[in-house]
Amino acid sequence: MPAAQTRFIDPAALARISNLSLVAKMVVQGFISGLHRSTFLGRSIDFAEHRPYMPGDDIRRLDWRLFARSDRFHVKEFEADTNANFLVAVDVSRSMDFGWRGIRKLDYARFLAGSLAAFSRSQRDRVGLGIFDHELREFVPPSAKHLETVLQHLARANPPPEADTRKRKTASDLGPPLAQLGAALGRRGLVAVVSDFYEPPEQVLAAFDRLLVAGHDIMAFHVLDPAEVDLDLDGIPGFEESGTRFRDLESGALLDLSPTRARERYREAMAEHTRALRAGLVRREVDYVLTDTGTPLDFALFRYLSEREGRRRRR
Amino acid sequence: MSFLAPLFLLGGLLVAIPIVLHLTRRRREPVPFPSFLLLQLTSATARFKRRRFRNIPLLILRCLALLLLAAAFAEPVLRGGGLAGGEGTALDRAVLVDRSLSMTVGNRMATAREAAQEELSGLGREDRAIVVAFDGRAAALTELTGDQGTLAPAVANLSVGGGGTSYAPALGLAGRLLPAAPGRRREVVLISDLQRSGFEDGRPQPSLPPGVELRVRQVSASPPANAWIAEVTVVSEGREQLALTAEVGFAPSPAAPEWSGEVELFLSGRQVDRKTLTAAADRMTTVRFDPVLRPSEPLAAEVRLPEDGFPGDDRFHLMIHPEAAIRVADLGGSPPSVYVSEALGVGVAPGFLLDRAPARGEGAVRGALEAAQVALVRDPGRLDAGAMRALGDFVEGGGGLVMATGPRRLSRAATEELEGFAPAVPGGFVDRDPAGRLGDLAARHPIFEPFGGEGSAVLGTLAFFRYRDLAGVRPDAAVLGRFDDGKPAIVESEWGEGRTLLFASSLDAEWTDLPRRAAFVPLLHRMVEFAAGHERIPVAYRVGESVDPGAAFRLPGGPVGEAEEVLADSPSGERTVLDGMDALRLVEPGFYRARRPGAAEFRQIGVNPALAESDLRTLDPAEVRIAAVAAAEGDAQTAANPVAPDLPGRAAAWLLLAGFLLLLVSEAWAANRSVASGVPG
Repeated sequence: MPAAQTRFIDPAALARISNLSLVAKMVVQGFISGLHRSTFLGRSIDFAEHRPYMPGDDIRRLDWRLFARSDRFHVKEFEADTNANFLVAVDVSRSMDFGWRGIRKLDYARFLAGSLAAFSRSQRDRVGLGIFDHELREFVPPSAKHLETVLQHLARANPPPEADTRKRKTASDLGPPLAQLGAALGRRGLVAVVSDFYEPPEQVLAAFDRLLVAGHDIMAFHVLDPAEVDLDLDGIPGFEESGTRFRDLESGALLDLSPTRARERYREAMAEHTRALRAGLVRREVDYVLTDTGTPLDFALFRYLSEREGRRRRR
Repeated sequence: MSFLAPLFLLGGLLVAIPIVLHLTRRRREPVPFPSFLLLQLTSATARFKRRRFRNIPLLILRCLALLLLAAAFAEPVLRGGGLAGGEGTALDRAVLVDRSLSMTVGNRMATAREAAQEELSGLGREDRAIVVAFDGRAAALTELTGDQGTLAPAVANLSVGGGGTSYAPALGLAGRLLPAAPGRRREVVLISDLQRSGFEDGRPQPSLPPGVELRVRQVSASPPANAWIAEVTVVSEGREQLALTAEVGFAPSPAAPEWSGEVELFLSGRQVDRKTLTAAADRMTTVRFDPVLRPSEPLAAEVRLPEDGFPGDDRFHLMIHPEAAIRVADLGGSPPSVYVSEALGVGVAPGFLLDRAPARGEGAVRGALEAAQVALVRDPGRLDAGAMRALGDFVEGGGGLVMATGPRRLSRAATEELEGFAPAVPGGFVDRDPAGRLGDLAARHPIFEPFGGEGSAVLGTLAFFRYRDLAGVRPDAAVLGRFDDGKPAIVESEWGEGRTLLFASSLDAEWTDLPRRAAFVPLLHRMVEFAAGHERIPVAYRVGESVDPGAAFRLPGGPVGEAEEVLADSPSGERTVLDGMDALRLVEPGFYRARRPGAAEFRQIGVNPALAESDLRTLDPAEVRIAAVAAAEGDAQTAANPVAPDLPGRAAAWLLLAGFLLLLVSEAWAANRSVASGVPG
C-alpha cells in the first residue's frame, strides 16, 4: 500500500466491525484529525448581514449592541445555517449486493452513509436517511436527534428478495424514489445519494433534477466494485475467460459471453457511462464522487470535501 | 498386433459417455453480475452459443482411461516381428494340418485341405511357407519355401492317419522350423478339429517360441454322437473255454441322445456272435459274448459296432493266443482256501487251474506236480520231508513255488529239505498288536506291477496280526518287502530252473486281512504268474505305442537279437524292416503282421485307435491361442533372448491395466482439483 494511504482505514477492516456507529465514529474521527487545520470548520457560523426584526423572529437572535448604537431592532444572519438538513439516500437494490475483490458495494455504501451522517452531525447538522431501490423503502426525517436512528436503519439495510426484483421489467429506476424523497423533505437541505447508478445517465440526471428544482444541494457517490469496473472476475466459481454464463442480479436474466472478447468494449462502455454522469452532474452543480470498494472511506470523504471546498471557492 | 478377444474393443465406444457428459452436463451456478446495462452492449461481439467441451484435460484423461481398459480386456498381442517389421515385412508361415483319426468325421479333412490351400495361396512374393502334418506326431511335408509347386501338392496329398491328437509336437516343430530372421514375420496357422483331448492334462502343453504368432482355423462343427469300443477283455472260462467282454462307450449329441445297436464278434473274419446293446450316455456299458473254445493257434478277433458319425473307433482288433491256463497244485490244500480258489478262478486269459495235491508222501507229491506249473503251499508244516524233497526237485526242474506260512511247525527233516532250495525257512511266530504293516517294497518287481507306483500306498494299508520270522535268508535271495519291524515279508529266490516266492504270513484270513482286500487278487495272480515264468502280453495295442516286435508278435526264436531282422507290415500294407533292437511304432489301427526273414508264417497283433481320440469334444480357438501363448510366455522368461524382444498378450494387457489405474488416479486428482477450484468437472 502506498505511504500516502497508510493513514486511511481499509474498508475490509471496517467490514469486520459489526457496529456501524463505531465504524462511523472511527472514520469521522480519523477524518477530522486529518483536517484539523481546515478552514471548513468555521464555515457554518460565518456572519453574513443584519436585517430588520420582524414579528415572529427569535428575540435571542437580536443584536443588542447594534440596538444600543441605533435604537433599532436588527437580527444577525449567517452565511449558512448552523442546523442545515443533511439526508443521505442509499441505494439497496440487488445490484449493490455484489462484491468480489473487497467488500460488498452495499456494505461500502452503508459505511459511507454512516460516516457522512456522523460527520454532518459533528457539524451540528440535522441528519436523516432515505433507503431506496426502485422506490423509497425507508425514510428517517432529518433531525438533530436522529443519528443513532439513521445508523440503526443503515445497519439493517439489505437488498430486497430476488423474487421482488424479477417481477419488474427494469430493475433500476432512480426517478420514483428520489421524487418521493423530495416530497418528504419539506425544507431545503443537503442530499447525498449513494448508488451504483446502473441506469442510463439521462434518467439519473432527470431524477436528480427533481431534487434540484426543490432547492436541495446534492452529492452523488458512485460506488463500484473493481471487478465490475474491469470485468475481471477471475476466481469466481463458473467464470471462464473463454465463455461464462452471467446472471443479472437485478433482473435474474442470463447472458452467455466471452469475457475475453467483451472486456475491451465493456471498459469503454463503463468509461463512457461515468463520463456522461460526471458531465451531466457537474453541469447541474452536483458534486460527483466516483469511488470503488477498495478505496478507504476516510480517503473518499477527504477527496469529496476537498473537491467541494474547491468548487465553493471558485463560485 | 492382434487381439485375443477383439470383441472387447467395442468397449471403447464407452468414451461417448464422458464426451456427452462434458458437452451437456449442466454448468454450475451462473456468475452473478450487478447489471447487464453495460454488459449487454458487448454481447453483439462477445456472445457465444456453441457447445464447448469443458475441462478438456479431464475429458482426455477419462477417454484415455476407458480406451486403455477396453484394449486391456481385448488382450493385444504384440509380437517381436510385428514390432520390428510391421505389416509390410515378409512372412514365414507354417501351416499345421491335423490328420488324426478324428478328421475322418464328416468332411473335416477336405475342409482342412481347402483351408490349407487358402493359407498358401494368400502368400506374397517374398513370403515362404512350410506344410506340417500331425496327429500324435508331427512331420514336415515340405521345406520352408515360397514355391507353390512344392507346397500345393503336399496339401493336396494329405490324408487322414490313424493316430491320436497332440498339438504339442506340431507347435514345437513349427517353432523350430521357422527361424527368426530380421524383417521377417513368423506365423503358425493351426488347421484342426481342435479336439480337447489334444490338450488333456498330463500331456505336454503346446508351446511356440517368442515372436511367433498363432492363428487357429477350426474345421469342425458340433461333434456327432459317437459310440466306441473302449476295451475288450479275454477271460478264462474253465479249462477249455474263453469268454470275451467288450466295454462300449457312448457320447450323445442333441440329435442322438441314445444309442442302441448290435455288437458283433468276428473270429478270423467270421462272425461268431452278435449281441444287441443299449448304451448309456457318457458311461461304459459291458457286453459279454458267449464263450468260445480255447484256440489251438493264434486267432485274430474283431469286435464291431455299426458305423456312426466317427467310424474310426467302431472296430476293436485283438489276438487270442492258444495258451493253456496256468496249472497250480495246491499242496496240502485240504480244507481248500476259499480265498485262494476264488482269486485264481477269475482273471484274464490264460487264467489259472487250481488242483488239490497231497502234502505227504514223496511219490504222491511228485505225481501231483507232474502236470503243474506252480506249486502252492499254504502251510509248509503239513509237508513231510519226502514231499519237501519232491518239491525241491520240482523247483530245480523249472517249476514255480509260492509258499505262505501257517500254524504248523516243520519237522526237522522237512526243514533240512526246505533249506536246500528255499530262500528262507519259516521260524518263530511274531504276533503284532496293533497290526504290523508292509513296507520297503521293491516297487519295480513284476509282482507289484498292478499297483503301479502306488504299491507302497496300497499294500501299506494291509494289516498283519501274525507272521513267521523268516530265518536264514539266503544271500542270493531278494527281499521284496518287509514288515514295519524290519522282518522279511516276501522273499524271492531261484533254484535251478525254477523260482520260489516265500510269504511270511498266511494266504488265509486268520493272520491278516490281505485275502479280504482288493489287492489280494492281482497280487496272487502276479505271484503265481511270476513263479510260473509266465510273461503277460497284451491281446491288443493302441496307436502311438512302440512295441518290441519279437515279444509282441511272439515270433519264434525269442527276443530279437542284434543280427536278426523282423519284417513288419502295417494294416495298410506298408512294410518296415526292423534291425536288431529296433522298436515298431504303431501308427494305424488294424492288424499288424510280422515275421522273421525266411519264415513263411506271419504273426499278428491287433492295434486300435488311441482311446482319447474317441472323445470328440472340442476346444474354442481362443483357448488354444491362450494355451499356446501362455506356454510361450514361460519359454520367453527362461530363454532370456535379448535379440528378439517379445511383448506377449498377457503382459501387454497387464501394462494397459496398469496404465488404466494410473490414469484413474490422475483423473481423481484432476477432478478433485477442478472441484476445489470451482471448475465444473
